[in-house]
Amino acid sequence: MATQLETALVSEIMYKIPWEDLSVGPVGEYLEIVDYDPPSGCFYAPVNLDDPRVLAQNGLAPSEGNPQFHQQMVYAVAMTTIDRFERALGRRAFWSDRILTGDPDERFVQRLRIYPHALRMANAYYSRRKGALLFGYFPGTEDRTSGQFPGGMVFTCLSHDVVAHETTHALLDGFHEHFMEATNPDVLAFHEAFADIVALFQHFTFPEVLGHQIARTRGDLKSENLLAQLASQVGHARGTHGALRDAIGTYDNASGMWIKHEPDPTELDRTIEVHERGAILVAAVFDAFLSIYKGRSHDLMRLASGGTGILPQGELHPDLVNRLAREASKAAGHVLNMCFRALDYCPPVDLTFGEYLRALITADLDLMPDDEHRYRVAFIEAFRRRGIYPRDVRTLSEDSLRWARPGEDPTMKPGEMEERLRIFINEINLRGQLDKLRYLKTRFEIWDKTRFIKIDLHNAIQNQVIKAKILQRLTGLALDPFETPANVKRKDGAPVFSVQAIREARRERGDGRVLNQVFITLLQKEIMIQDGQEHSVRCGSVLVWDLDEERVTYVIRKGLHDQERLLRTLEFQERQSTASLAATYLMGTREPFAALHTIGA
Amino acid sequence: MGATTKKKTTKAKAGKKPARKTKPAVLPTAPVVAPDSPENFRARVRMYRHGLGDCFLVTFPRKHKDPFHMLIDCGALARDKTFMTGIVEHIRDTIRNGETTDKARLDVVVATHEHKDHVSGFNQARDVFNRDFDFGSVWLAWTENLTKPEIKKFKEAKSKAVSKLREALSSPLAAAAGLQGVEALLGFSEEDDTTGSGLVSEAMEYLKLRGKDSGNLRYCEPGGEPFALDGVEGVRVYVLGPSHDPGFMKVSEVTEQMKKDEIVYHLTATGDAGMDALGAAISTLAGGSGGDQARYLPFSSEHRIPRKSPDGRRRNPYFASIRKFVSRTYDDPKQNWRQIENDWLAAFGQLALDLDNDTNNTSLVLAFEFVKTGEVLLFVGDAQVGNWKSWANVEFTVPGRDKPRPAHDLLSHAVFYKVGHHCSHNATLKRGGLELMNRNDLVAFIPLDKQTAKKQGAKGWDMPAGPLFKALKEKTSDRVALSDVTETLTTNAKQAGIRATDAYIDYFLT
Repeated sequence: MATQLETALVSEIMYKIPWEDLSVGPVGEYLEIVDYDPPSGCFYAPVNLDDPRVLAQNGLAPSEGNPQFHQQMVYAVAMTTIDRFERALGRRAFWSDRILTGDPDERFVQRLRIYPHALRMANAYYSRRKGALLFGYFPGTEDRTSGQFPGGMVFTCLSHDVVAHETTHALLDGFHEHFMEATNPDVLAFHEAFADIVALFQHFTFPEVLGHQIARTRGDLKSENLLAQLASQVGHARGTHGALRDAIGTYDNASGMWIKHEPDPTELDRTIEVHERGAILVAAVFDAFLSIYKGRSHDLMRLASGGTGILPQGELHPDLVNRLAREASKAAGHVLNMCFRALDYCPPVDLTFGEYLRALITADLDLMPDDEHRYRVAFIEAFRRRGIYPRDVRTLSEDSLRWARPGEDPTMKPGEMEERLRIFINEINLRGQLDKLRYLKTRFEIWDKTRFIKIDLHNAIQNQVIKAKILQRLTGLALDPFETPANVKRKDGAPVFSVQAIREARRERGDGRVLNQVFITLLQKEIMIQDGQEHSVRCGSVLVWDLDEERVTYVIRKGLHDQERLLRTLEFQERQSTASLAATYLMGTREPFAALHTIGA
Repeated sequence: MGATTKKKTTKAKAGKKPARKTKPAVLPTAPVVAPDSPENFRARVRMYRHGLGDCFLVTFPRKHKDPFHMLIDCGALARDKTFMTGIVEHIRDTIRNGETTDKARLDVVVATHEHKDHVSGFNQARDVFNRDFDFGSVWLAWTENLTKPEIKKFKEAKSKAVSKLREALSSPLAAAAGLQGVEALLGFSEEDDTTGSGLVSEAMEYLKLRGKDSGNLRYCEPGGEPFALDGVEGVRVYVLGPSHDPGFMKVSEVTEQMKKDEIVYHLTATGDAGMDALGAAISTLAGGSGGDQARYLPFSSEHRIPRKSPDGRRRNPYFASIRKFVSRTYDDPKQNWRQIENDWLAAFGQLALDLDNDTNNTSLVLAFEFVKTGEVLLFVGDAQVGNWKSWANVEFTVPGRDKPRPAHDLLSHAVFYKVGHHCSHNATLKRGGLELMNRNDLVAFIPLDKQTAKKQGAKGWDMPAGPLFKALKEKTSDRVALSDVTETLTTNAKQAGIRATDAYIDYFLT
């Protein structure tokens, strides 16, 4: 982009990152950039961003030929992504734990490691096994008509979208560690889609780029624009167009024109490939964003056109461009926040797109009871047009999409269930425990303390059958040690479950009141017998507990009770064909994203 | 693919080489007719017990004429020339049946796909084929028809990838990176001096030549009208695969855009840039083609700080300036689980898998139907999931039927199933595949030498795949026969009329 005259103005963006103490690398609280290039057999000197000479000019000036600039670039983009993630969720971000037996302290991964020049190929991926992002570089296409310098080096670590995408994979994996287990066609597609959504909308939050685009498209962001062309430079250099752009629109090779892709509700049923399926979700969110932007900018357009709504010929007034850019960037920020916050409300395993919609709506209803700008309607509408619906919902209204509150238990007196739960929560002293977390300083301290709270809670459930029974009713998990479900095989009779996460959320609602919630995630792994064969299945449920009102507001269930779901999962896994040759020849692959990610493939 | 210790590498190597040499080439001495064979039958399927590979002789008796012989594949992964020649001579003698010394006539020769374990015999026993055999016709999948430009493109992309891959894997660096598991995969398309098997593509070329000579070279396409076998009454042959839809030939489905861009081959999805990247990777490997090194280096020399000086002996004085940083991060012993020394090579593994999968999916899939009884003999080559799935859309125009006949209908009448891909779990589709085979007299033949499979790659290949093997046994009530010479026939198989000798196992449709 930097060498196209038309876009030369917008090819430089200033990233503003929260201050932190950095050592050379840069190495900070969350990230360490280690610039080792195994194919070339060398290191590149680490940049010192705290050097006064660098500080004085707001960091190194952009230069593709300078590895230190690359280090600065990945650091800046990754930190921006982390910062957005933390601000949306209101708590610190953690990386996925290292899988280790032995000293639990060693499982904590403080910093994600980033290798900006690790691979010599058109690929970049997140490796959980190494707690690292690996970026590749490759000579560009020799085709002189592509507009690229023929044979010039293309660096994936210099693409904002690629870096943001990979960082998001890592963040999401640290948040929901089982979202990499393909139990239905949506799970992996969601991982990809979510990473794309973050990369895309983060792009939209830069007013410089937006202003330029709005001027070019005369306020109508639906027509072709650079912003929607995720990873444009990488796609370009490879001489192919990515799946995401296809979801929003495509280039017609014959005419060289860009054609908008009309949403097709049946497309989702036909699309199985992970990236293509993910692209449908991204396109749905993008559509929602467009309607939100349109709603927010309507008045401006009318003002500028003297009430007619039809803009005069010629270029837009710069003031109008600025105002429109502000609306767009605000809308993008809101959409991004909504998407992040919905993560709290997602089931911990076996997520589907439809359930993500439910999570989005529930999260937003909790936080913004008044939907002034009709964000939720925009989302529901956009998802509907792409054929994304949850199962088991009667209507596509906000109320039925909202996760269910736990109902009364017909075997108990009215209110008894709620009362028992309250006693249970009080007995484990949840509030007191959470208060201790509040004033901890480092991420390690928080991680460590949370670990003990999880252990306490686990023991409380395990040792008290009555509590286990209450939770079993509520969550659909089989927690009762004396009652093994019919088609489940247990080694020593006891249920295998864990308290996977306890997350507190203190957020200010749209009406100024404070919402105090805690999300408790229970996970269960059991051996299920089906057709005489043993299958390992994972179930999980989230309890949303309102700390002020002292009651469960939602239960998001993926329990053992739902046999239909488990059968669907088994069937799906049987049909899975990818990587199974690897299972035959190599006895399994170890880097799921490496294969998934050969860019655009 | 993590780093494998050097020790393991050498062990694997050491175990592999002698195995090929010391393996006693037990030449089949079995009679051409198995003892206790039925006098009359409608079809006989003979599976040779010659190692990890396919070699099937299918025989249909004809009225007032010599029987109709059909050879479906003739290859093995790790067998030498003498051994394979012995097998082909046995096929010759079977056809001659001790009655003549004329040329043995193979009415049809089929090569299901271009892999060594299916076609090596055509190179290794070329002399015998030339001297003693008469070919009636040669059948190949339409994907072998190189006169069509799009197929040629496909094949060229593939061979380019294979050669680059082979170059990469032959370097010592690859061995150190634990890529020997991948190397074994290339064995399918490899040129191998030790077994005299030559290039797989040569075997295919040879078959095409013989086909042209016989005046009947047929590139089979799925669907359409079934055809008859010359002089064989009441048998129809159906072609089920490979599909014309490129989507079914891939690991992952092809995108719409790829179709539009006429990208036939998965690899070229990464464009020339992708292939260049591969070239880049290889050029730096020790022993690689080198030459254009500088083109692939990302930065100019003043930025590069190797640990050692260029001659590799002394320390690099410039490294001292970053030593502190490196020992705190990359070299930190507590963090060594995050090192990435060989990760960039792992892509080769995926590439090799894709290549293997793609070729397997070009397998020619044939079904032989006995019109009167409806019984079906099914030969699937090494078809992977994609090929199997495509049958759901294949239909046949059968004379005397007003409605087209779906391919799945044939599956439900299968009495004999040649198990795909040596019983790996990905080569027999359950739903829309095995589940449709519901006849209670179903028999399954698995061409597999367990010893050879165990020796491949770093950990051996998962053949037969446990769950599939179990399912096959259930489906056939234990009438499963493995070509592995250490296996004996089950009681149920014997009762079903299956006969075994050291050299082959016979199935009879009486």
